[in-house]
Amino acid sequence: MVIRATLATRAEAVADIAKDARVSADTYVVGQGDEVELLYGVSVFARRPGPRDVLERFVEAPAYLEVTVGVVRAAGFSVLPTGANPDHFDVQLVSGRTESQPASEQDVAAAAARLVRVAGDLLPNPFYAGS
Amino acid sequence: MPERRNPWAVDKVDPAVVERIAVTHTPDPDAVKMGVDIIGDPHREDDDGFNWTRLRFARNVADVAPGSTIVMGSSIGRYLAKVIAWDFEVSDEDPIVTLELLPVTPESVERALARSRPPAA
Repeated sequence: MVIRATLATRAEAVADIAKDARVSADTYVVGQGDEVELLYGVSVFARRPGPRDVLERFVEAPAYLEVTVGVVRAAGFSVLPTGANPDHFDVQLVSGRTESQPASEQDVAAAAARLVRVAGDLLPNPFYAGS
Repeated sequence: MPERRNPWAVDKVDPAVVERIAVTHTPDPDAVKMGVDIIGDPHREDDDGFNWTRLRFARNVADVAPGSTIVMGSSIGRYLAKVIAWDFEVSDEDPIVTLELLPVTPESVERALARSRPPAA
């Protein structure tokens, strides 16, 4: 399972994901040679059984999305392991776009909405410290 | 797995560079509205396992120079962080700001600092 902490509504979750994916694409690419594409990355964490829950760090997030990597991949999104942390991944929100042909804001927003739809219901964050 | 970089090791930036960027910087409206030093996504991690954002999301450029302790705002809360580096690989004017997110809340640090003050004479 991978998770991403969110605000309380699906619309807010979609907007947040789309914004972060655009910043990612403005910063990073993935691939090599002729296969390089913009990384519309949406950061997610693996949530594994054990005494420490990755959600502990999101005490101000009222909700979260949780979905299996298989479901995300079946929906057509790549899930890329990222960096030193074996529990951190980027979901490639829009594939195949280059610096000369970036995705439109509408494309990114539509992909974010699709990812949230695939992930299912927003779940209440058990570590939420707000009111 | 790559070895994690030492968060005590900071890549200092020439003050002249900080000043050059600060002159043209426009404070990020969300950072101003939230009263934080910079806006970011607490989920992000780079190849070294550090969080990152971009300098254009700062309220005040000088406040987020490498070595600074800052408050990062996000849609899902505020985070204390230490600025580890500015990475100019993607832009001379809008570098990647590399952050070590600290596993404490700003409120808990405020309470700890309040307790650490010596009693008034």
